Amino acid sequence: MFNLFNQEKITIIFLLIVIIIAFGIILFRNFNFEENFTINPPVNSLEDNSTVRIEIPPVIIHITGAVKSPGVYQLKSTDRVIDAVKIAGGATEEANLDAVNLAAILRDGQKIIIPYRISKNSIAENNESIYKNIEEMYSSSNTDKININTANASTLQTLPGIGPVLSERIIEYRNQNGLFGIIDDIKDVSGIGEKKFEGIKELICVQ
Amino acid sequence: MSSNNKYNTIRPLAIILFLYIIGTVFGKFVNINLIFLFIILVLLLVISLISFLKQWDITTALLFLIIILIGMFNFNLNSKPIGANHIINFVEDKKLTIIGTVLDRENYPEQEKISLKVKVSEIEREDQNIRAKGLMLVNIYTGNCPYEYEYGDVLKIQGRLVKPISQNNFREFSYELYLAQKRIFVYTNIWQQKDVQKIGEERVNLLVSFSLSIRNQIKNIIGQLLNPPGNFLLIGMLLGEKTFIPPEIKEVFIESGIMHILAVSGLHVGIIAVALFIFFNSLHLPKKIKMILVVLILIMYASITGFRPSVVRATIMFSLLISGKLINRNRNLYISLFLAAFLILLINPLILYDAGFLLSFMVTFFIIYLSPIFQELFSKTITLIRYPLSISVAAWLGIFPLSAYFFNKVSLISIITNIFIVPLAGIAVILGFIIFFLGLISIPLASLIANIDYYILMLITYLAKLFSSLPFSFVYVAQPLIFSFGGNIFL
Repeated sequence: MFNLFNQEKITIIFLLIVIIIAFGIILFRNFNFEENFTINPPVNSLEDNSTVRIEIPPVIIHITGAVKSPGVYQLKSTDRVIDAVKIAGGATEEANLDAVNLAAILRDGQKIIIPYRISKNSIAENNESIYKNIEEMYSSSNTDKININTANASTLQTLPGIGPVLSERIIEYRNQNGLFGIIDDIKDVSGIGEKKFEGIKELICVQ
Repeated sequence: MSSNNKYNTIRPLAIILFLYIIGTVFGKFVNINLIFLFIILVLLLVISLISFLKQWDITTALLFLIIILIGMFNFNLNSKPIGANHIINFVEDKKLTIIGTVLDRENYPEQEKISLKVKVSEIEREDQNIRAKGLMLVNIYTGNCPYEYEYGDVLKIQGRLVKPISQNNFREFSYELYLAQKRIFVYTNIWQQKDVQKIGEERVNLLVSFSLSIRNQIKNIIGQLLNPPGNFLLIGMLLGEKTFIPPEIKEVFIESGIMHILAVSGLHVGIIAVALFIFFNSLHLPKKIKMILVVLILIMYASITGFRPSVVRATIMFSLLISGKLINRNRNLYISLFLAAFLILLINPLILYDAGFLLSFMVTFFIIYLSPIFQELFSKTITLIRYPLSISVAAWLGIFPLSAYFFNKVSLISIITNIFIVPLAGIAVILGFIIFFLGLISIPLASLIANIDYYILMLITYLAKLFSSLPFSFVYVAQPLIFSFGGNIFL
């Protein structure tokens, strides 16, 4: 077995001491022995630990239609459409709340339209016929455009680049997040990118 | 290797490197508690210190044992996430809200993917926030992103954490190892834009943000002044960013054996160092200031290129050689090479499995070690061609086994191609830097140089095409048997 010179040994020992000290620092910084990482107190005592608290970003929405005081309001991003309706003075008597997803989470810049009941006489009309009525109402102005808020799967599939899968996704998105405020919102549906949107934006409308 | 006194510092360094690598390789199979191993290391170090003072015979053996153990320790320290609040401990089968800072971004245009390396700081749950740490990868597949996430952006990410699948079959690409080399152990895929929100900004490191801005400026100026594919080639040569280079050009470069000019390598560092020395010499700066400036600029360049292993190797080597000259030590290429390898592997032992690292070190070692021998062999040939030829042959011998192992393809023509193309690439790189600096002052002046550089780049591509189309320019090889055995153990 070969042996090292004394000078070499000293150099190596010095090198190893430096390396081991460095490892020690890394090791002890990464192992939190006192478990300091643990959970900060629940939200109801937020004031105690302001450093870890996360500011909820505000959203600004525009609510119109069958509400008592329509207008632009600022809410929290965790709020739902029902909160927006409440802050706008509540729904009027003619409001058709069945046609909106009141549980949808608000998005910044969203426009929420609470639809009116089409005819006061037929209160017991089911949703589908209401949709049909709405469609008729707007179809006069946008004859050749497809309303992405009301169209069913087969109508959506007439759009270029939208197949059965994407149309399902659009409807699912609508059910989860409420109606589309502007046509650009359709890009939030996964699978519809800028390119697809460019192709269909002339053919679609909202409301 | 001659073991006269002049070289006496090489021997231990090579042995240290060798033992350390053995340690890291075996560290994969040894699963010891890190704190326990650390205590053993400290104890052994104390014993070896005593043994050294008492001049016992076991000192050398003890030191070697410590080095192997350090290798094992370091591999385990780096290959596994540590700490109870590491992000990996929060992997579950539902969406989580994670808050973290972007450290790095990479675009994959052909996959329509953007990958962000995110440093996790917090995990948001329904009623509480948990302080977490560790890195994660965020793959964003939303197509055209309206907002470019940059270094330092604080993001709120909603996604399901996934652990990368480990390699099932031998030699299959291991996403787990690939990510682990970057100390990433979890990733998440994002399909909807609303799942990633920017909630703030944090400037983490001045050097990194400064180099990123320079990197972007280089890309802007060159992308603007040269026609494609010249601009993509030049960006690849200056920054090592190959994402936009057309695949057919890449193929030609691989087949003619000159892909290394597109991976920022020691060649680039050498070119920059030489150019800087010429520049500073003309300014008549004092020797010491000149050398310190060169080292600083080289570190800057390594940072701009994102600290790729080959650039780090070359930068460490050059810095060691230059500083060796400063303290009037006889410069020694082997020492700087081994020390560079040792330092890189000490910082991240998993780099050992990186093809770029292995290629860089093997080629440099073969060039240093074999090219003087070949120079004597070729002594009868013309002096003009002797030097480049011997380097090219030595480099090829180093690349051959690794190329066969990693790519199953060996370029035979590369010995000749490199003699022609390396000087051309050198000129293209120098002109590239001139374009950048001129572009900062005046765009028309820079576009003049850009036109010249464009023709040089086209000449390189043309030569590469020409050489790769020759018969037997490259051959497909089966994986060398000995390497499969070795590979089975190592990987």
